Amino acid sequence: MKRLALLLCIAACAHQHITTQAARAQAEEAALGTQPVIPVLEPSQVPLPRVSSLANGLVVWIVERPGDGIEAVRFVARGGASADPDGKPGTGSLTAALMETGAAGRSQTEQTIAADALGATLTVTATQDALVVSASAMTVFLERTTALLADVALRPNLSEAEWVRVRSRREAQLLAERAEPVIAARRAFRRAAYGTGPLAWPPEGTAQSVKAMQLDDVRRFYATLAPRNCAVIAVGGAKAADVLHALEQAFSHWNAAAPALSAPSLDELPQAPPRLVLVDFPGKPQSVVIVGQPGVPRSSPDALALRAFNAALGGSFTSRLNQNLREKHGYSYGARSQFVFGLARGPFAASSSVKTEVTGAALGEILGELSRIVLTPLAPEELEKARALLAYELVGTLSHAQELAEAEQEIILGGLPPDELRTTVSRLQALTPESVLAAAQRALDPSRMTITIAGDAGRVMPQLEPLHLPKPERRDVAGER
Amino acid sequence: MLLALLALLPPLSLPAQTRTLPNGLIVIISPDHSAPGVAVDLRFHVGSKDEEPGRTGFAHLFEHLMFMGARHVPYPKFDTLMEAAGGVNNAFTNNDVTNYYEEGPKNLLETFLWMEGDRLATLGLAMTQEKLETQRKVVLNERRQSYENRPYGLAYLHLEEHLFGEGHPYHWPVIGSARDLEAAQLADVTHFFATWYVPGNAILAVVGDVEPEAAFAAVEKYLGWIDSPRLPPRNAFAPKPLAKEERLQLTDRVELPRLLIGWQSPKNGTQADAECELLAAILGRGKASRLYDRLVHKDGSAATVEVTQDSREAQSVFGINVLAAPGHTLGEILSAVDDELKTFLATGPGQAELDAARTGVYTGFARDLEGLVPRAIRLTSYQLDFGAADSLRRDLNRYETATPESVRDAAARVLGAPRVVVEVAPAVQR
Repeated sequence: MKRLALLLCIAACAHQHITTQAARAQAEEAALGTQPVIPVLEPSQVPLPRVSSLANGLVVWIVERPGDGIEAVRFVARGGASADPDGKPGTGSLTAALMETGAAGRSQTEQTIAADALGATLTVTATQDALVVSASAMTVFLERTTALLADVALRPNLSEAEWVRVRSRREAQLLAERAEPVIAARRAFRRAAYGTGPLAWPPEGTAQSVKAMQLDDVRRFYATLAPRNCAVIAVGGAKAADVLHALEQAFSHWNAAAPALSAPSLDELPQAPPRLVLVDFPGKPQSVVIVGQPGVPRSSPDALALRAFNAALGGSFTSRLNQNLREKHGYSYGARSQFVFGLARGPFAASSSVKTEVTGAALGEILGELSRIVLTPLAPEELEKARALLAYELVGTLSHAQELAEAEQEIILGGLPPDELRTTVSRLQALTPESVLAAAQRALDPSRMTITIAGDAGRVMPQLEPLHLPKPERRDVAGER
Repeated sequence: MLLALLALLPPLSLPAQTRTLPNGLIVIISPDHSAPGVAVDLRFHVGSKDEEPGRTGFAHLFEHLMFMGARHVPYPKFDTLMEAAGGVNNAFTNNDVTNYYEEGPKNLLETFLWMEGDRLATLGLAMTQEKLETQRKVVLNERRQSYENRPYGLAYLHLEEHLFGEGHPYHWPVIGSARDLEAAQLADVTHFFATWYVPGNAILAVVGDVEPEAAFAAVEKYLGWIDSPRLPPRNAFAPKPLAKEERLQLTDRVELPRLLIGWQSPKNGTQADAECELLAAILGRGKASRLYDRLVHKDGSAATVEVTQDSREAQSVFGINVLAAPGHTLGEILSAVDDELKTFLATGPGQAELDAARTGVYTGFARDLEGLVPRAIRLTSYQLDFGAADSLRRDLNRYETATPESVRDAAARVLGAPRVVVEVAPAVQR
């Protein structure tokens, strides 16, 4: 019986296994056999900023959103790192750092305690084109946060004691960064591609410029701030009337006079930038590779086409660069490309960290992708993807107060219209593979791009021979020759 | 005055409806019609702690393989279909869980669920040696980029190895060792998948512009039919305190020395875990914090300071991370840190200090809740850690009920225990 029972069981179990399998296959087919349809979505409405100005000329953009969550307020002063005096890179950035160390007679600690009590972040940074005081807190604290922000923007202490500290912290930061191949590569690339113009220098400054910097330099930089060069942006749940009231209280008495800033020169670029730049990091397991050139300003009519172009080239996971270097060849954890738009021709760069042993091969693939993509139009599905990704990126921006405030900041700095975000989707629809190619061909010339490699020079150099590149220009970890 | 400020904060909310499907999959829906987007988070309760000896880094390697295609959505369609319609995705693995998420226009909800259902049901059947080789290379490159090529990168791995001794499931790093990654076999992959990637070991959240009933129905259609085998027993967790302080001296190709201090701390979701997070803020968040004020501002001995409570399922890590300023030694910094900790333990935080830390945490929650993906991740983690997705209030309550005394007591328990101190010095330049 035992045996028979066993046999019966085997037969029964096998039968059950088969029916289970068949049932599973059927269930699988029912659930997964058909790809779901993606319904067409109506484009959603993008809120327009309310644009006004205070009596002193300060421009105000307010975006009102439902909800009582986060309110973002930004004070934006045109200038930034691009306004650093000749030979003094880092002035704007050190001014920003010093502005964070106390205001209106309150010490750094007192100032921070006041912001912390509101749960507010309150930071000052110098971007390439602006000095930005940025705050975010719960909408209920709008008025108090705005008052603190105005203290920092209009009444910074800029004290001698804090200046000494700020400068030595910056020196420490620059020293620590000498160990970072990613930063070294970026600095060397900028210096090579931009020569001696404002974009050539690190916004943070160099070891030499920071060492030589004096408090007076910073105070002079700060003195260029005046209502006519500034704007305030507020994004959040507060009513526009309440925001305007808070801003008037905080900023309308500000009457600093300062000369109008001259627009940055767009064409002060080296005639023949070096083709190949090398920063040696002996023994490193990866090389950081950057290939790029000066791009286009934010105000360029080609800017949106170039963003779409970039989504296909290196701005998405399925982009050509990432698929090639990461998925197809296994050279890298990822590869990307980016346009940094700005008032001047901010950089375009394709970049990746690649295994030292395959640096030459990986560079060959990057150069290949770049030269192919400016020859023929994007495939229609590549452009469709770019449109869809950029349209949804906008949805994401709109739901984050700080991100939206930053987007509006770039629009103001670029001199673009207040409906720039609202018209994005329709302008994306108007792009064609041919118009995108034309924009890319106007902006980029892969044969003249500057190639920068930060890695083990002794192991990388022999790998570059098959690429027939000119002799490399050597630069140190700070980007200097 | 300060208490009045706290009272002004509006309530935060993260609504959630939860159902458990017959196959064990827990489904959470959280509608929000303010923007036309949707996010899906699928959390598997498996992380590096569940790996087998000689196979460290496997949970994370597996995460990569989840994007290599299954039967109905073969490689590389998971990414191409999604991006073509404006959707993006990513994933992360930690010691405890592996988390997959996607976000995009709301019309992608069914597509997301279809793709998740496909890879959960059929990924193992479609796995190949070639796919494994591709992602093995990518992960080894990730290890290089995140640790080997990054200044101080390996020091972080050493700290945890010493904080959790041999045999503890947090002893080995999530990224794994290069040797183990090289050794992973196809059979390991299919076995791991069959063991852990089952509906009964997963939690799925949908957040965004969706109708709850339609969303539940869609999840049921695409994932409800998949069988769920029984889960194996897990690696045992026996918290094992350090017997004595451990000190490590490392060198790296860096310019400035760095000091890392780590303590074992209370597990995620507990009252003491929240108190440790408040402690971290009081000690190290912002320019008014105690260690910043002392080390960076007054002494000038440090360039940066960071304090963290890294919350985990079994035990957490409380960490202090200081970059020395030029000309200052780690010995000098360590004694200043100890000095500050001693002062703190003697008196605890002031009420205003604690209130500010709390308001900071609260506002941080509000910032986080602006995003669909962070909300979805919060819901699946609440489900796992608190046993209910609808736990935002309970979570916040932990911070609201903390007192200066309770924070001081938590600090005394954590900081009073033996610790690991890692000193990273610049290697002598050639």
